[in-house]
Amino acid sequence: MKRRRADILEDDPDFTARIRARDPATLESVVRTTLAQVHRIARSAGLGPQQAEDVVQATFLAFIESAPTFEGRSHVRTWLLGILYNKIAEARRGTSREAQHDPIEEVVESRFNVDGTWARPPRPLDLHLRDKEIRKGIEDCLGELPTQQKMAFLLREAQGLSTQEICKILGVTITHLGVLFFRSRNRLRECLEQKGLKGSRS
Amino acid sequence: MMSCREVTRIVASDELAEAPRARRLAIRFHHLICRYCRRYASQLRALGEAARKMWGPGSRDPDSLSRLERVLLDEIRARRDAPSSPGSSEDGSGGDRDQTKPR
Repeated sequence: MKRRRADILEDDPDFTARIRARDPATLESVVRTTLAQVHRIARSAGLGPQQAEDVVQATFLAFIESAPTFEGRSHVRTWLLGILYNKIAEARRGTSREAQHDPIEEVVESRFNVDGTWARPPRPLDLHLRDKEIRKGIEDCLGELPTQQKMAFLLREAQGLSTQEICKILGVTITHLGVLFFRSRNRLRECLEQKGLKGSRS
Repeated sequence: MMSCREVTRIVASDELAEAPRARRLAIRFHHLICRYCRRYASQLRALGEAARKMWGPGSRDPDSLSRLERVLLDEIRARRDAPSSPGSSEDGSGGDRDQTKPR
C-alpha cells in the first residue's frame, strides 16, 4: 500500500508544535496531502457531491480551529479523519452508535446448522465492476449500512488503514471493530446476494 | 476441528492476521476442504477489492477539489494575516500564549 504522501505527516515534536501554532505552511501541507483522501472518504460514505464538499470543508475548518489543542498523540491524519467521521455522522443524522443488538447476527446464524456447518451456503456472486449494475448494487448496499459499520468497512478496505488507526478514528475498541467488520461485510454480502446480481457477462 | 461458523466469523472479523499460527493453519486447511467457506472468503476479498477500486487511492478526484483547496488555503492565509484577533478564537483558549505551552 502506498502511503508516502501521508508519511510526510509523521508526528514529531516539531511538527506537533507547528500544528499547534497554526503555522500556515504546515497547515497548508496538511491540506494538500490529505484533501483528496478526505474527500474520497466523504463521497464513499454516500454523501452527494455538494454535501461531500460541505462536510470536507467543515472538517478542515474544524481542524484549523482546533489545531492549538492537537497533542500529537495520534497521527494528524487520524485526528482529521476522526473529525470527518463525526461530521459524516452528523450529516447522516443517524445516531452513529452501534446498536448492542443487530439483526444481521441472526441472518448469519440462520445460514448455519446447529453443528456449525452451512445450512444455506453462500450463493455465487458476480462482483465485476465493469458491469454498471454491479457498481450500483455495491453502492446501494453500502448505503444501507449504519454509519459506523460503513466507515469501518471503507477505512479498512477502500483506504487500507490499519485496525489501530480505525479504532482511534471511530473511537472503538479493537474487539468492537471486529464486530463492525463482521456485521458490515455480512450485511453487504447478504444484500448483494439478495439482489441476485449475476452480471450480464461471464 | 473448526466449524464453518467459526471460520467465517474469524475471516469476516479480520482476526486472521492476529490469530495464532496454529489457528491460521487450521483455517487454511479448512478452506482447502470446504468449498463454501472458500467461496465466502473469496467473496469478502472481492468486495474489498471492489471498494478499493471504487474509492481507494487513485480513484478519480473531481475538478471541484482544486476550488475547495483554494478556499481552505485562503482560510489559512486569512488567519495568518490576522493572527492575534482574540475575537476569532474560541472560549478563551488564550490565543498565542496557549500555543507556547509545552505539551
